[in-house]
Amino acid sequence: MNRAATSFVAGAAVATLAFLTLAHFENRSEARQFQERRVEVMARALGFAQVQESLREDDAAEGLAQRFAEALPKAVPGVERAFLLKRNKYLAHSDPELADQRLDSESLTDKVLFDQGRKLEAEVKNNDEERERNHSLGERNAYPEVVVAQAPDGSVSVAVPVKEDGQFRAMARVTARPEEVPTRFPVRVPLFGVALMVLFALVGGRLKGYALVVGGTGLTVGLVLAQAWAYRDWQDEVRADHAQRMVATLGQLGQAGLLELAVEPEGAAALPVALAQRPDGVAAPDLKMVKSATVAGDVPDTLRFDADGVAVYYARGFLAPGAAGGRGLTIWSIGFALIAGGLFILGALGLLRRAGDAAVTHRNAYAYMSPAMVGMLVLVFIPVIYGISLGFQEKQYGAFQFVGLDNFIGILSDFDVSRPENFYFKLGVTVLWTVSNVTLHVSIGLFLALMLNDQFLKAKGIFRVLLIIPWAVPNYITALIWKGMFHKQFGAFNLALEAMGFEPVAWFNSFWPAFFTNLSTNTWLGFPFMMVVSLGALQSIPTDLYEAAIVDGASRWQRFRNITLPLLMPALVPAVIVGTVWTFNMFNIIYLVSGGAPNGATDILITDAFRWAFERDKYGYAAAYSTVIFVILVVFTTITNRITGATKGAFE
Amino acid sequence: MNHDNNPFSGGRILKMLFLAAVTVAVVYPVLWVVKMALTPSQGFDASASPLPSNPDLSNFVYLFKETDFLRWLLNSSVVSATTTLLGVFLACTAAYALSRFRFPLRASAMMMFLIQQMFPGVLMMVPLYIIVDNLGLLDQLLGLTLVYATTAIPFCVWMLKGYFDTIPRDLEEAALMDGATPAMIFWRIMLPLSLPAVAVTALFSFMTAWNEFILAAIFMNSSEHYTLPVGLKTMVGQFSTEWGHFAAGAILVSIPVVALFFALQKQLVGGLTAGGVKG
Repeated sequence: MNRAATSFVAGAAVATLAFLTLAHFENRSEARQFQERRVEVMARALGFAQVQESLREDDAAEGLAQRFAEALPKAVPGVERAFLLKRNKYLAHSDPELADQRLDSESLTDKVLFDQGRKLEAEVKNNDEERERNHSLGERNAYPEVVVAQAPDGSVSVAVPVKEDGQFRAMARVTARPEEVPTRFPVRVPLFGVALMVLFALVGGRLKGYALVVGGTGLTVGLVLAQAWAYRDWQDEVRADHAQRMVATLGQLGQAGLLELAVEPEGAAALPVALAQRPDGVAAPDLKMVKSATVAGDVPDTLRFDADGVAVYYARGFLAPGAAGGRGLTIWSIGFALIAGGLFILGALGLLRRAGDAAVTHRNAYAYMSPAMVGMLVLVFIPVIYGISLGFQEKQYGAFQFVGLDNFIGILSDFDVSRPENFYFKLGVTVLWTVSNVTLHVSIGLFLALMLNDQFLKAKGIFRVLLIIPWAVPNYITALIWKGMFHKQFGAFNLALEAMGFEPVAWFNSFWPAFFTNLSTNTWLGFPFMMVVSLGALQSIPTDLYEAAIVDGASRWQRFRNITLPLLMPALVPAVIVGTVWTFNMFNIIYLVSGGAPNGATDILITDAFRWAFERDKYGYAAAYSTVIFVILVVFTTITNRITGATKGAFE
Repeated sequence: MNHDNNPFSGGRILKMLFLAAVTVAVVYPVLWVVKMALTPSQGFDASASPLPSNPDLSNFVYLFKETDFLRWLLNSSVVSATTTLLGVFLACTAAYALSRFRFPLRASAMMMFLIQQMFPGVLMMVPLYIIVDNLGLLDQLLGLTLVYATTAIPFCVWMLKGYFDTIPRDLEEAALMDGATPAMIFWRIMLPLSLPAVAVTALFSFMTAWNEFILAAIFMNSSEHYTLPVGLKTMVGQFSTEWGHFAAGAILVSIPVVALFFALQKQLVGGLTAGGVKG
C-alpha cells in the first residue's frame, strides 16, 4: 500500500472518529434538553392547575393545585418535588405538610428558591416592558422566563412563572430525576466507513496517479455524504424517541387522573402537532389549554386527554421530529465535510507525509510543545471554534438551529444609537472607557514612576510597596468595595461631599456619574501595572546619558523629551497594547460596580455579550457579539503591531 | 533626574509630601476595609475615619465557625496550587521550545498564544461548560484547575519566552559539548537561570486561579466545592450585604496575593520588562 493511499485512509478514519465524537456530544445534549423539557411540562401543568383553581369558584376547583402537586410524584416515577411558591409562601406542595408553609429565611436552599421566584417575576415584568418598548419583538420574549437547575446528583429542577392576565402570580417548580434514555448511536456510519476504508486500502495500494486521486476523492466524498445523511436520520430518530417518551410521561399523568390524552393515529403526516408552544420563541406567548392531541405512528395506546382542568404542553419542534423544517445538513455535517476534505487535500498534496517527517526531525521541539498544545487544543481552541460556530446558530424550540449570518446582521445593521443595547452605542462607550482608562493609567503610572526613580529619595521603597497594593488586591473584591463606597447614603464619597458642603450624588442614576464610578475604580487598580513597567524601564536607562545632557546644557524638559521618553517606549508600548486589550475586556469592574446602571447604559461590549448569553438566553447572539469583539481586538493589535513593531523581535 | 544628592533639599521634601498624599489616598480604601473587618456591626460603616471604634475579631471568628469559609479556602488553595504547578510546567516547556528550537509552525503557535489573549471570556463560557460537562468534570475542582491552567498558559509562555531569549546560548552549547541532552539542559541550566521569570509566571498562574470568579460561579454548584471568590460573593447579597463578614473574608483572601507581590516585587519589575512583549 503506497503512502498516498495510507493518507486517504487515515483522513477518512479521522473524519469518522470526529463524527462519532461529535455525535456523542450531540446525543448527550439532546438527552439533557429532553429531560429539561419533560420536567418543564410538569411544572407548566402544575401552574395551569393553579390558574384553573383561581378562575373557577366551584368546589371541584378547590385545592386542585394541591391535589395535582401531591399526585405528581406518585403518577410520574422520578418526580421528587413539586410546588407552587408565591413570594415566600408555598401555595401547594407535593409534601402536604409543607403546603401553606413559609420559606425558612435561614436556609440557604430556601433563599435560592426565593431568589428564583424574584428572578422569574422580574423577567415577566421586563418582558412586558421590552415588548412595549420594542414592537419588533412581537409576542416573543426577550428574557426566557424559565429557570433550569441541575443538581450534582443529576436531578433536574425547572421553575416557570404562573401568570394570570399576563401578571406574575407565583412560581411553579418541579424536581425530577432524569429518565434513563438508552444511548443511541449511528453505528451504520462507522461500519460503512470501515468497509469503505478496507476496500480502499486493498485497492488503493495498487492505484497510481489519477486513479488514486479519483479513488481517494470518491472514498472521502462518499464517507462525508454518508455521515451527513446518517446524522440527519439519526437525529430524527432520537427526537422521535424523545417525543414518544414525552407522550408516555403525559400518559402517566393521564392514568393518575391528572390528564387525559387523546391520541388518534392519523399517520405520519399528522406528526407536527402543536399541543401548545413554549413561550421562548415562535408563536403563542401564553399556554393554551388543548382539548385533544394527535400523535402519529407507533405510540401504542390511544389516550384521551381530557383538558378539563389540565393541559398538555409541548413544544412543537420537540414532539415532531423535523417539524422545524428538517435540519438537513447541519453545521456539524458541514464540519465533518471540511475536516475530511481538508485531510483529503493534505493527503493528496503529500503534506501529511511531510508533516510526519517534520514531526520526526523536530521531535524534541514538538515533545516540549505538546503538553501545552494538547491542553490548549481541548480547553481553548475547540471552545473558541465551537463558540464562533454558535454565532451562526440560534436556539429555537430548545435546540440550536443554523441561521446563517442573521445574528451578525442583526448586530451590525441596527443603527438606532438612542437605545443603550445598540451595538454602536456600546462600541462608543467601550472605546471611551478604554481610552480614558489607558490614558489615566499611563499618565499616573509614569508620573509616579518618574517621582520614585530618584536614588536619593528617602523611603521610596515604602512608597513603591504601598502603591502596588491596588494591583495585588483581587479585582472582584476591589469592585465590590468601591461599589459600597459609592452608596448613596452610606458611601465614603457622598459622606466626603456632604462634609464639604455639597449635595450627595445618586451615582448610579445617570450615565456620567455611573461611568465615573467605573472609571475611578479601574484607575485605582490599573495604574500600578504601568508604574511598575515604567519604573523597570527607567531604572535601565544609564545615568551618564543624563549627565552628558546636563553638561551640554539641556533643560529638564529636553532631557525628558529626548532621553527618557524614547528609551521608555520599547517597554511602554507593549504594556499599553496589553493594557488596552485588558481594559477593553474588563468584565468584573463594569459588571460589579455600576452593573450597567442606569439601564444598561454603562455596560461595555463584553458585559453586554454576557447579558445576551446568561440573562437574555440568546447564546447565538452572544457568541456572534463576542466574535465581533474578538475581530475588533485582533484588528487593533495587528495594526498597532505593524506601526510600532512591538512584537517584531519576539518572532525571531 | 534630580542631580543634587541632598535627600532633604526643598524639592525632595515637596516630592515626598506629594507622594505621601497620593499613597494615603491610594491606601485609604484598604484601611477602610480593615476597619469594617474589625467592627462587629454588619452595616456599611459611615464614618470617614479609617480607625475602628471598638475593634474585635468577631467577624473572623464568624467566618471560620459559621460558614464554609475553611472549606472554600482549602478548595481555592488546592485549585491554585495545582494550577500554578501545571501552568508553570506547561508554559516552561512550551516557552523553551519556542525560544530554542526552530521548527515548522513555530510562528503560528506563537501567534495562537498571542491571539488567545483576545478571546472574550464570554465566547468561551458556554462551550467550556459543555466540554467540561462532557468530560464529567463539572462541579469538580479538577475541571476548574484544568481550565485555569490552560487559560494562564499563553501569557506565561510569552513572558517566559522573552526571558529565555535573554539567556546566552553559549552556556547550552558548552553543555552540549560536554554531552548533555536537551532535557538536562532544560532542567539543569535554563530553569535555574530563569528563576526570577518562573517566579513571576507562578505568581500570575496563582492569581488567575485565586481571583477568578465567573467560571467558578458557573461550574461549581455545591457549596462544598465553591472557591473563595464564589463563597465570598454569597455574602454580598442582592438585598443585604454582610459587610463585616465580607471585609474579613476579603482581607483573608487578599493576604496571600499581596504577600506574594511584595516578596516578588523585584522580579516583577525585571520579569515584566525583560521580554519586550507580554501580549
